[in-house]
Amino acid sequence: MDMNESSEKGMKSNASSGPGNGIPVEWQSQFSGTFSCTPAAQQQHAMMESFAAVSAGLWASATSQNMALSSDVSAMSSAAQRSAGFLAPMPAFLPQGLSHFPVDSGFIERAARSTCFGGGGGMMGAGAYGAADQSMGDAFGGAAERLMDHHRNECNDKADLEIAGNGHDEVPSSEAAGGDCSSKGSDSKKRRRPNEVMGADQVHCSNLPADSANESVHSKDKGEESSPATTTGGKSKGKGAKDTSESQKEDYIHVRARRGQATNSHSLAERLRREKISERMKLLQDLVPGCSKVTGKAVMLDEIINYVQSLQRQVEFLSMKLATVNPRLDLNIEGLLSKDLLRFPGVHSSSIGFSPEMMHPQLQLSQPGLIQGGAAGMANPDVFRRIIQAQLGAKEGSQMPHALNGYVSQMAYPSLGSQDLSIRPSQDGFQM
Amino acid sequence: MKGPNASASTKPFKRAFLKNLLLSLQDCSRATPFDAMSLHDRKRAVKSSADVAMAAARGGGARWPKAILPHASAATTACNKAQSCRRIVRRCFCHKGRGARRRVVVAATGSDVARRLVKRRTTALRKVIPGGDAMDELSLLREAMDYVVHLRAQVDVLRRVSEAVQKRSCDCDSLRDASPYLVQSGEELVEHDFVLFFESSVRKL
Repeated sequence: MDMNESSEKGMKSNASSGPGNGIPVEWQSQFSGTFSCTPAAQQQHAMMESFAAVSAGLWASATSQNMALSSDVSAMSSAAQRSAGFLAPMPAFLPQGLSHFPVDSGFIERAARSTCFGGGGGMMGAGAYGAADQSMGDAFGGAAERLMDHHRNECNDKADLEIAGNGHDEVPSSEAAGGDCSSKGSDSKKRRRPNEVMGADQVHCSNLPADSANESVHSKDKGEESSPATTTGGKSKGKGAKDTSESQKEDYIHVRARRGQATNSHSLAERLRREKISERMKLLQDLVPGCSKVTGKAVMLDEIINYVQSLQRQVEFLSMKLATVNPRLDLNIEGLLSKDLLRFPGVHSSSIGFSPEMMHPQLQLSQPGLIQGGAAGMANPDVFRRIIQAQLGAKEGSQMPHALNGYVSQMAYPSLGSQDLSIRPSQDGFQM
Repeated sequence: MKGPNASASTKPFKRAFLKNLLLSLQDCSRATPFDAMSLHDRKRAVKSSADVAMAAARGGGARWPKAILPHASAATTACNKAQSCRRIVRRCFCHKGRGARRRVVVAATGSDVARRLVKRRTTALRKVIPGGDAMDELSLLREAMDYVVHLRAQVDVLRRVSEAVQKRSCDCDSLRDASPYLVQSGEELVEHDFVLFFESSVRKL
């Protein structure tokens, strides 16, 4: 990470000028939601703010997705050095995540030899990314897919789309196709992104509004993304620059706006929130059994609700069973404790000899030898009594009819074994 | 960001929950004579004590235990006030939105339908998860995850307890019939034998 920091400092000196403000905006608008990666990737994002090339963006997206790629680093660095100086730190940045990237070195040289360094770098990134996708195949899974979708949405250039499509198709000749497109695409990239050049005139910044307007039009075909497109590029540029500086100063989670997306803070935060929500939905998918194939928020939410309701019904059923089986409700403490001891490993059997002593009316359950683990500070039995009495009194009216309704169906299964209970959540056809 | 918690061990929570459950049941039996209570009252006592025990065993790592436990310390009153304010505001907005939406022609676009479904199910989820009214969607999902994990542990513990009690009561009856010698011996010995017998029966499980 030291290399990155030094490179960032170098970049900051370049980016401090006026045109440099326009560049981070361009930068910002190119990145997809890769912030959802590991925190290590987030730090990389902080570095990436200083970089302005699209290619660097694509490379970093590849890196942050933890692709195990090996790069022809020497070829890269030589190509980069032929390009503008600001691309030089990037290859140093690359080896972090790239290890086995089977990129055709000839292709790289071809791309590097193309006209503009920005475009060349872009082609390097895009073409190499396409090749990477082809070579990695399923290793990326949905991550690469998502990036490709973002890439497809961002680029209003046919060449880029072609590259994206090639990368997606996993055609062996994608490298060649990428190489073919490189010349075409580099020209267009050069045309479209003149302000990638470090130290470019401020005039180039005026091209930004046109560019972002163009890109915003093409990004609308992604239906899910409902963030408002920028109306005036100047406004977005101002806010984007402000956001960059703000996010550089403060230690927030760095989110890159996609190209063509609005870069004001509201839509960025909204996108961040949406990504978090989708990430948590994925985690919930792992929790709830039988939801691995379910996609979509609505169905997933439905499954979660059903599962939670079924679990709560199980609790009710079991408590009813306990109340039935044990009319005195004086669960034999030491017997159950012995079961507890047997169930939880790590407790030696000699402590079972203690259990007859537990018959003492002043039950001291806080014996550390018997009960291990994180016990909450509810040692005071009075608290329990107060709480339970309050709850019993409060829920009296509401629970009685509910209990009766619940038990009509549940009392029909008094002999259900425990296995049936565990099967029940998946068999639950309970509809909302 | 919340990491994967499906693989997290819930053993300490289960132990704490069991302990709390036994304590609370003991208090219940001390407070009201259980012979006088009806089946439903008993069930309610067991269930509420189980819920309280679960919330107490969870600790302060999530928001749903505070919704279950009615006692509020000085530190939580401020949070509760904020939460209740949020709840009231949300309810006002929800009602307003619902009314306004009824007047509007139903849109047939897929995304609108999906959004409406998601919204409806989010509100349903809020009702299911304790304390879900006052949370935004993001924290609601996190609370749901946490709640599911601990609810599963609670179900597991309750199941084992009920099985153990059931088995013990059956065996106890059979024991009493089979060996009157046990009944005549001192109470401690009886209990001790019960423990040993229980232990052996559990090992067979």
